[in-house]
Amino acid sequence: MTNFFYARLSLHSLRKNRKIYVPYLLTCIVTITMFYMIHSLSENGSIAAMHGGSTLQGTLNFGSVVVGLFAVIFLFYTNSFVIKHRKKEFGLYNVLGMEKRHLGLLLLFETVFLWLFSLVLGLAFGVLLDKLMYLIVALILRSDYGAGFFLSWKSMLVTLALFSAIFIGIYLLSFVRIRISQPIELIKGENQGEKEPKTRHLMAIVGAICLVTGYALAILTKDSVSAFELFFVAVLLVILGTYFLFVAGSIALLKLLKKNKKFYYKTNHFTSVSGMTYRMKQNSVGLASICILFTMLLVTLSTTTSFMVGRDDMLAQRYPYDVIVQANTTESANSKLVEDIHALLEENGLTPDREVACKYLPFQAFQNGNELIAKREAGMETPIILIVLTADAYNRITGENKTLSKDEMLLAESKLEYDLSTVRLFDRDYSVKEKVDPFVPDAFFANGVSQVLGGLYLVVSDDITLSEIYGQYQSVYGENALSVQLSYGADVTDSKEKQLAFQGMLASMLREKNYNARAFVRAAQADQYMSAYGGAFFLGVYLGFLFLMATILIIYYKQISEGYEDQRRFEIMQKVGMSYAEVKKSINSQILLVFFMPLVMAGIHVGFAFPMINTIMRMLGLINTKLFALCSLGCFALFSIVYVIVYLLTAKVYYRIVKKK
Amino acid sequence: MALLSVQNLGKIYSSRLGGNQVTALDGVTFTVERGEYVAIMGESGSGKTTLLNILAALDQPTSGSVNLDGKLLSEIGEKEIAAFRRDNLGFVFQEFNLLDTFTVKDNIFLPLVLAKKEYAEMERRLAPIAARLGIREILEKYPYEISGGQKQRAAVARALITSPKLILADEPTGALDSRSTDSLLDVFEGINRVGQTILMVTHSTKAASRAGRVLFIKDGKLFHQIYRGENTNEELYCKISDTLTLLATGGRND
Repeated sequence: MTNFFYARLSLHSLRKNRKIYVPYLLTCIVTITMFYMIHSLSENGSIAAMHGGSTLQGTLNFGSVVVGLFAVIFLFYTNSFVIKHRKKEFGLYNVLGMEKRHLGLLLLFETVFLWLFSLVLGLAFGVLLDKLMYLIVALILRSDYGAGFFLSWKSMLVTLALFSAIFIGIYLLSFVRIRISQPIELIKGENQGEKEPKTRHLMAIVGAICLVTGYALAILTKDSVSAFELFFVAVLLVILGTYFLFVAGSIALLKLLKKNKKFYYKTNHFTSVSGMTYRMKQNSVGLASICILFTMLLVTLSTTTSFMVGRDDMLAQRYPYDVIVQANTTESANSKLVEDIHALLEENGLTPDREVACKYLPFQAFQNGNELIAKREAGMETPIILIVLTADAYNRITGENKTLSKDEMLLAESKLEYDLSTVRLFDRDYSVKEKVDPFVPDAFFANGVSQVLGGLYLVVSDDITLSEIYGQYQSVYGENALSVQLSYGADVTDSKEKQLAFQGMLASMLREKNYNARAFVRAAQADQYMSAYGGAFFLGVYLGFLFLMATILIIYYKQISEGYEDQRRFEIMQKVGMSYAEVKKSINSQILLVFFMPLVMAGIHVGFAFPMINTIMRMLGLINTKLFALCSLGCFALFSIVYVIVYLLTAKVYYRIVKKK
Repeated sequence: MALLSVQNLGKIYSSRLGGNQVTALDGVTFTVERGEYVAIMGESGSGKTTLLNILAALDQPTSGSVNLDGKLLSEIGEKEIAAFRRDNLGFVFQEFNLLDTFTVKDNIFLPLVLAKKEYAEMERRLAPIAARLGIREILEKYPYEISGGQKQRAAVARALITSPKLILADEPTGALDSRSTDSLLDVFEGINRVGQTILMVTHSTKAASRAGRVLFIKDGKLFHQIYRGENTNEELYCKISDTLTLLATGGRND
């Protein structure tokens, strides 16, 4: 009987507080749906069976861990808003004679209802939308998809367990909070006189230092290896700096403004400055979190989008020909290899279009004046990668007709600039007859010129000179010396299916005939790229959506709770002679500031992070800076639009609260 | 000419669907001369607060007119009304209505800041008022740090600082203990003596007995008025009590 009463009362209070609980419930449902979907995708057998599916499932697996962690943090965080908001009501019940344990019972029923409702709906939506997500994944993997539902009982159970645990945790925490507070405190709840925040100078200064150092690291680190290492240091510094500055810096600044009497006692500044001081005290941590969340979201989205859009460029760069064979075999086997590849192409009815074969010697050297010194151990100097080939090979590739004497060289520089007119290599001087443009894509050569660092191409007169250089190279490198390499590349005009089939045959031919060679067919690599970058893109958008929802909800709750506080302030100011329009203007400008500060800050963060991330992306193979810039700007614009829409919507709710008497 | 002249004021509230009509004020007419200290008494629901809201231009009457210093409130436009209120009226509320985001000093300065006065001028105006009200020590404190009586004196200072023509006080002693009440009433009497016109709505007999004239309002109609004349506070107190008894035990205003 009594239990029935509490059940009814809890339903009633959920309904009565729907302004708070509807968004909360929606969040729970969406979070559960999103968690179930990503978990079930990572468990889905038919995705694993797809070409490239296992790579993608690895990504999804990681994603489900992130979503799970997110769910825990986020639901606890939003619940604290909810409880804070209801303190007054609980206080009233307490005063009316309900004991704390009755309040606990009430809270228990509420939590159970929320739990039941959100899990049932969340899982239902999850199962329904799972199919859609599956189709998207199949699309990314360019795979055929089977019909019918996939129901992952394991994912259901994991979802059930995780979210039940979260709800139990939330319940216990709320109960403890109510338990330790006095009824009179509960009644006063949010209306307790706010103390003026103290200025924490040290914190503000440390924050500024952290932020500036982080920015400086991001801008000044040019070299890609240290960019990779320092990136996380910079991220950490910026996160710390953001929190410190939002918490302490904002208040220090406002207090400084307050001290300036001429500035402070002006109609426009007076209410804004003092109002902001309190807003910042209550919201700084939340705002800093939103700012960080936004920054991460922007970076994730813009990088994954860049990789997704730029993957064809990357592919073309990494695999400059449709078919590439890179061999590390003996001189005599080399000519045989090209014949064998030809034969196989013919056998399979493939016609090579643009065909290139070239033997060459790659090794690394260090510059000393005009001397290039080959040595194995690198010191502090940056090594230069050298590719030595013959004039004969050069002429075949370019279709030119260059002749060189024994002491002459052609020099091509890829991404480097050495002003060399003579080159000294293994105690022999060569005069640079001509500087030529790079004539093949760097990735054509195995162990070749790095796409990022670049290298030098040295064209020597003939096979004899090459052999001499090879002999001396061997004496320096000893056992670690490579043989003279062969690279073969050809474009074929035939269908993708034929190319894919050819890859298998090429690989088995190389194996059977004992060639020490690697073969790449671009069409097959394209699928790999798609599953890797497509998977990352999918996850980026997926998490992006989740984080965006989180931000929107946090902002919504902030607006509502501020609305209730401002309601009274609004009234008083009107009574002492501020017009409605003036009050509205003042409050509006404060809200705008609070609202858009994280977005603007996130924009600044991303702006400073851009060079560093760009360096890292170049190292990972995406060298299209313009594309990355466009993606970053696009993501930021998209975000701003969504943000403005959310602002307008919540501002509406806010004014409805404030206006009400 | 009288500072405040209220002519035949009426206010009818109708419920949202227009069904029930409630008469809050009905043909209220009175005048307040410059330098007068007038108390308006009546029970809860008698229309006191409605009357005060109309006088403060926070609410519009359904009929009749209010004339403050030769200006009809109904003729002041929506845009100027806030400035008009700021320049001519000072408010003291039961709930103090101090903003907790401001220090006491800034709370007092609020109307001046809104009126775009110079900071030096604000300080100059504050000094004598703070001295008279005895709040000099608490100027830098925040409302949550001071007592109710101090809060109310801060609120009075805020009302006085614009040198308003009329101070409107709504149950100013309602939230105060007896000692704070006495000291606030002393303050009111003090500022009235130097020429400040005060109109106070109250249902405290003690507060009303300090005024120069007491108006009684019942069911939205002006019922009776008592002039202090040569009476002492105590004598006036007795007269007010008698009137209230009469009012409560069935005196009809017809």
